[in-house]
This record gives sequence, structure tokens and C-alpha cells, in this order.
Amino acid sequence: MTPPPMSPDLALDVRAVGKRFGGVQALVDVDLQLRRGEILGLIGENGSGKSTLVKILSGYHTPERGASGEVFGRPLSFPVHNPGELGIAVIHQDLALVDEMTVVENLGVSSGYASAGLRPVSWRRERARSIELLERFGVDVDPGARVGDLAPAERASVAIVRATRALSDHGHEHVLILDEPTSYLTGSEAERVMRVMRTVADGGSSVIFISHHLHEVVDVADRVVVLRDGRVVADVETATTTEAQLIAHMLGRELGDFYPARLDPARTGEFALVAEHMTGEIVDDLSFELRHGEILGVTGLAGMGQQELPYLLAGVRTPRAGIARRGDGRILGRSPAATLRAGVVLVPGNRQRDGVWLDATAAENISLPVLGDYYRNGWLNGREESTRAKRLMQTFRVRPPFADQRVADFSGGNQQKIVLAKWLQGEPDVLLLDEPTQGVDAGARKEILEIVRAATEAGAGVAIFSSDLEQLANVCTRVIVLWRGRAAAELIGDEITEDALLRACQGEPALVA
Amino acid sequence: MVTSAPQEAGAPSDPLERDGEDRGRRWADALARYGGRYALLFVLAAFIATFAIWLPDKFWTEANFRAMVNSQAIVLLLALAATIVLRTGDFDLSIASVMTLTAATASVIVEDGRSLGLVLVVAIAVGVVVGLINGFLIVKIGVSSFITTLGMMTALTGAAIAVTNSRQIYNLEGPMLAIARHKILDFPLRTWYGWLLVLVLWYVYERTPVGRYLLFIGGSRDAARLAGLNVDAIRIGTFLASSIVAALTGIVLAGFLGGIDPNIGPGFLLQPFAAAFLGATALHVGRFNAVGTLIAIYLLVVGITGLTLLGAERWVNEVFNGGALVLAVMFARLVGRRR
Repeated sequence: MTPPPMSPDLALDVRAVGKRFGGVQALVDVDLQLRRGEILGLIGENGSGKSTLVKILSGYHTPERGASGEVFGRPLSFPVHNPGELGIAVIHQDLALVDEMTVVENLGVSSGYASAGLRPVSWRRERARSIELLERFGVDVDPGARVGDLAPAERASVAIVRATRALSDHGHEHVLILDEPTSYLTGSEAERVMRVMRTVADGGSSVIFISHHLHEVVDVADRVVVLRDGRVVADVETATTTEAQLIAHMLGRELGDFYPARLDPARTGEFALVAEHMTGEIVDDLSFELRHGEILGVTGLAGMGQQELPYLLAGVRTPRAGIARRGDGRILGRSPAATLRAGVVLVPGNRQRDGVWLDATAAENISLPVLGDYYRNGWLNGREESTRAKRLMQTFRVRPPFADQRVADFSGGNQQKIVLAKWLQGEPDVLLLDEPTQGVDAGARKEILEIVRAATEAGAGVAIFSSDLEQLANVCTRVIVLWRGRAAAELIGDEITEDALLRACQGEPALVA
Repeated sequence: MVTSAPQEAGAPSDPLERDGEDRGRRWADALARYGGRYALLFVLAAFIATFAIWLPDKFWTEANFRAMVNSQAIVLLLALAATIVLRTGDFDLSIASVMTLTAATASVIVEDGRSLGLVLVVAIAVGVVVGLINGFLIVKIGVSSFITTLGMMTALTGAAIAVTNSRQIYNLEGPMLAIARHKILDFPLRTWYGWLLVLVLWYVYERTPVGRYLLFIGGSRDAARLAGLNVDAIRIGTFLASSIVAALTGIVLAGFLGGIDPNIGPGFLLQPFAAAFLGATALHVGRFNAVGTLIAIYLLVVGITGLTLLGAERWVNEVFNGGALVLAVMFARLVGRRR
């Protein structure tokens, strides 16, 4: 691939970037050009090298010899020192905001509050400046609000505005790199963030946008660069491409269907789980049944209760009222331990906090719920534990299936498969899955959903609690849509389309069955 | 383990970390892979070799080695008690004061001519009560373990002084002394207790589910709870266990000293923690463990003894222990980052 000659229209132009970690070649001879005022989507599977590339641009990694680059025509030397001064800012998924401080305080912190050293800060001026910035980028938040109290989309928007402000302070054009700012947002929230992104780009910033949500990339980006195994495999205008083509580029093959085929809603069995009058902070007097052999989706807009419900059912949070029991009448109980004993497992949505301990090995994490099985005659059998974990990792297609590797050293998709291996090994009767494919690439997502489908076919009752309407529309045999904690709609079988779900989510309580 | 295994092709997860020079990385990788686990043992061996060559007459003698080992008996017991709570991610700073208090009660009881059985009952009662109060405040109310046990430490120091009526008690006689001083294979019992406890805790930590549960509670409390562990009960249990071990150590201390100076507690605060943290850099890197703690104790005493024999003043003791604590934590962080 011969790169085009350097052009004055380019905001960022890097050439021949390579990076090796031990025996793994993470990036091979990558060229990347970003035009002025453009939004460039950067996509690829977990492990394709996206993050490594970003971390080279932010000065976190040093590329191999031979790399060169320019920012707005000025030479870029590696390793990159002080990217801010060059006009490059990276916003990571965690946003790096201080929850305890106000919007104004957060917006000013990277700019030194327009003061220096011990000279006093004019809070009045800071506030005025913040209001002006927020208005300019169309971000409707109270400048005095504590950032921790904001909705996720508002937090992401504040982070973007802050980075833009800090870069403008350096007085020249700039490049904004957004590393998966939307991966934990629901559809409508992500759209708000993307509108801010568009405004920023229209204001002259050049933006690199990284996301696992291909439809977002296709919606907002002007151009898309696809990385696979550390190489650029495609560089296309979004107007001339489709999600399917992008996925083919990412995988290097056709995925076939993105989703396994939907199970027949007619072939369901007995009740697996019955919830009666379940009431929590948001969930409000909700009753429903889950049958063996069905995949029930529970969804709604953010804050409608689908994030709370699985934790109420599993006894992680104490419900204010209501009870959940198994089909045979056994009560699930008031603690995670009691829920597990009743044959019900909850796969939590916050994988890194609730699903695993990142510093422990894959085997230690997988065996935790059944550790007692390996303790015989007063001795914990480490070899048996490790062998069985390895077998499970192969079954759940964890790559590489190294049982003694720390979980932190696996990619997001593989971490999620480890979490599933941990919870599905006992072949539970009921599976409660909170956002099971969040932050996971297309290939791994399909494998995860195939695992879930296989468990369902084997007779488990499965409930997926998620805001990913596309996924729900493709895998669920039945979907309950929540509105302010109550069931607002129920869709069955072929009624479940993304469009129908979207309309039901927007709250048309008239649909109540 | 391949240290730079592909997570987003090798990218570490801590965004504040830079990889710096590749050469430095390779060197550190090699150290972490081959040296990390046994580094503390190598350092201990290097210390012993150095001082043995330097001071063959003073250091390299059986008497000196016995003295070094026996001098650490009490500290070893306390350090092991500390690891029980540290393993679940909490602190128990009150152990030294629990020890002093039971040493004081034991001394007073023996002084009054009462039985050893009473000594034992009172010590266990003190351990249970303190452990339950610590556990309740920390686990059920949610007060930070650091603050709770710091307060407990101070209060119990006062209680020890009250028990002895502000006196130092010494020159006690009778069977309590034998508890600490009786020799088996030429080592006093107090040293054997520590070794026995190393063995017990090694078994619990490495060979039973409970040891693993403690580790997961320390590493990821939410994941542990969702996996069905009774996190609250286990945490309260660790405070109970560490207090009871500390309380029994008090009897050994009283037997060893033949009494007690009730102001002695704070002097035993830092060294056990230095050893526990240093021990967490050995064998099971990043995890508090029993055998690593034993190695750490001997590393500290060999260093201090060697320097003292070379003519260093008494204050070297504090500097060495304090420095070791900070260095241990720093080393653990660096190794943790490498992985």
C-alpha cells in the first residue's frame, strides 16, 4: 500500500507505525491519515491494534524505529511527549472526570482555571466560560451540578467539551481521539454524545472515534479505517459502505449471520422462574414468568428498571416487596448464595467489578463458585482445578485457553467468555444475563450468543437484560419492555423487530398487554 | 506466564503506565518471570553470604543464628496474625495492643497466684471480644478498618496500663515461663509456635477453599459476593482470628519477658506489617502469604543484626524496618505493573 503524499489538508498523518510486544506483533507498518474537520471511525476486533495505535499517539507506547508523523504540518517525533501541546487529546472510556466536583470545576481543571500557580481563580469567569462552552457544543447540563450526578451521556459530553477547551487553550487546531466513549451508553444516550461529537467536528476539530457499535460509526463518521491483526485492511468512506462489509473487513471473512437463528417460541417448557410483585428502587410491582427453553429479553430506556431487575431477582439487592421463586415453588432467597443454591445464576453486567477478579488467573476465577468440589481429603487439588478450567475455556472458545494466565491479560470478549464459563459450568436451570455482550466485538458476540442458545436448547430458562435492541430482536423468543419499572409491552416471536422494540421503548403505555 | 500476552495486543490496563524503554522492559520482564517469586530468598541468601564473609567470627556462628531466629518469635506470630486480615483487603492495627493487654492480664493473674487456665480463658475472651467489636464496626457499620483498629489500638494500650495499675511487672515465676521458654531440639517453644502457625496458615491459605475465598474478598469483594461467598461472615471471622492469635501471643510474650511493660505495644506495631508486606512480594507475588512472611522476617533480622554487628547504632533497627515496609510496598507495585 503506497500512502498518498503528505497534504496540507491533513490534521494528522502518521506513517509506518509498527509495535511489537514480546512475541506479538501488535501493529505492522500502519499508515493513518486524518483530514481536517473530519470524523474518522477506527474499528477492529479486540486485539486488532486500535488501542495500541491510540496509545502510541498519546505517548503511552513507543513505536518501533521507522515511524514518522506530522500534526497539522508540524513534525511528530516518537515517543510523543506532551501530546496536548501538539494539539492531540485522548478521551478514554473512563473519561477521567472527578465525580465529586462540579461541571465548572471539571471543565477548568485541565486548563489550570485560567490562572497560574497560587494566583486566585475567578470562579465567576470560570462559570461564564463553562456556560459559553456548554452552549456552543449544545450540552444541556447545569454547570453547578456534581459530575457524579450527571447521566452517563452528559458525563461523556462534559469530557469532550473539556478536552476541546484544553486544546483550544494551546491556541491552534487539534485532534480529538475518542476511545469507546459510548460503549456503556444506551442507544438514545449514545446519540446525544454523537451529536456533541458532530458539533465539535463542525467547529473545526478533527476527530478519531473508536467504537464497537458499528451502526454508530456508520452514522457519525465520514470515513472508516479498519484494523485487523495490526494492519490497516480497509479505508473507506462511510457513504459507500455497509455494516456487513465492515464486519467482513474486521473478521477477514463473512460472519455469516451476525446472530444464531432464533429459537422457536412454541417449544418452551415448564415455568423456570416466577416473579411476583417484584418492587425495588425503580422496578414497580412487576410480575412475570420465565419458562424453560425460552430466551426472554427485558429492556427499556436507560433507568426504566432493566438494570435493576436481575439484581433484585438474584438477591444481590433487597427488594422492597415481592418474591421470586422457581417453577417448583422453591424461593430464590435473599442472598446470592441462596440464589445459586436454587439453581439460578446471575451473570453481572459490570464484568470487571462483579464478574471476575482481574488479578487472579482464569482458573481461579472460573473455579470460585465450585471451589469446594476440588477440596477433598483436606486438600485443594490445584491440578484438577486447572485442567478442568482449561477444558471449559476450550468449550467456551476462550483464546488463548491458558488457565494460568491472569484475567486482566485477556481481551474484553475473552474475559466475558471466562465469566460465562464460570457461571455456566454447573449447567444452571435459570440464567440471568445482564448485558452479556457489552464491550465485546462482533466475532466474540456471536460465539457468546451461540453458547447462550445452546444452554437454552438444553433446557435452561434464560433472561437477557439489555439495552441492545438489535441483539434482543435477533435472539429473544419473547421480550418484555419496561416503562418506569412496569411492563409496558410484551412482544413474542416474529413480532420482535428492532423497530417494534424501539417504539415500545419510547413509552407507549397504550401497548400494555 | 507470557508477560506481554495480547490484551489489545499487549496493552496494559493501567492508563497511567508508560512502557518506556524496550530494553528496560525486557530486563524487568525477565526479572518478573524468573526472579520475582524468589527474589526475597535470593536477597536473604546474599545478605547472609555477605555478612558471613565480612564477619565470620561474629555473624557466622550458631549462637548468632539461634539468637536471630529466637529474637523474632513474637514478631513472627504478630506478622502472621496481620496477614489473616490483610489477605481480605482490610487492616488490623490493633494486634500489638491486644497482645500487650493479654500479656498484662496474664501477668496480673499469675502475680495473684491464680491458675494458667484462667490466663488462657481471659486471653481468649479478650481476643473474641476485640475481634467481634472490630468486625462489627468494620463489616456491619462500614467504618474503615484502618480507623477502627487504630482507635482500638490506642484504647487497648490504655486498658493494658489500667490492668497493671501503671506498673511494670517483672520477675514472675512458675509454669507460665515454660510456655515461652521450654526448649525442644534446642529451640524455645515461642519459636516453635511461630513455625507451627506458618504451617497452619500455609495450609489454610494455599490448600483450602477458605484461603482462596479470603484472597477473592481482598481482590474483588463484589465478585466474591456474587459467587455466593458469605463475605460479611468471612471478614468478621478474619478479625476474630487475628485478635485471638494476637491474644495468645500475649501469653507467650508475658512468659518470655516474665512479666510485662504495658507501654511496650506500639513498639510492636510496625515490624509485623513490614514483614507481611515484604512477604507478599515473595512466592505468591502480590498475595499475603505465610511462608513469604517467614522469609521476610528473617531477611529483616539478618539485615539489622549484620549492620549492628558492623557497628551501627541501635536506631538502625527502626530505619531498617520502616524502610523495608515502604520498599516492600513499592516493589510489590512495580512487580504488579510488570505483569
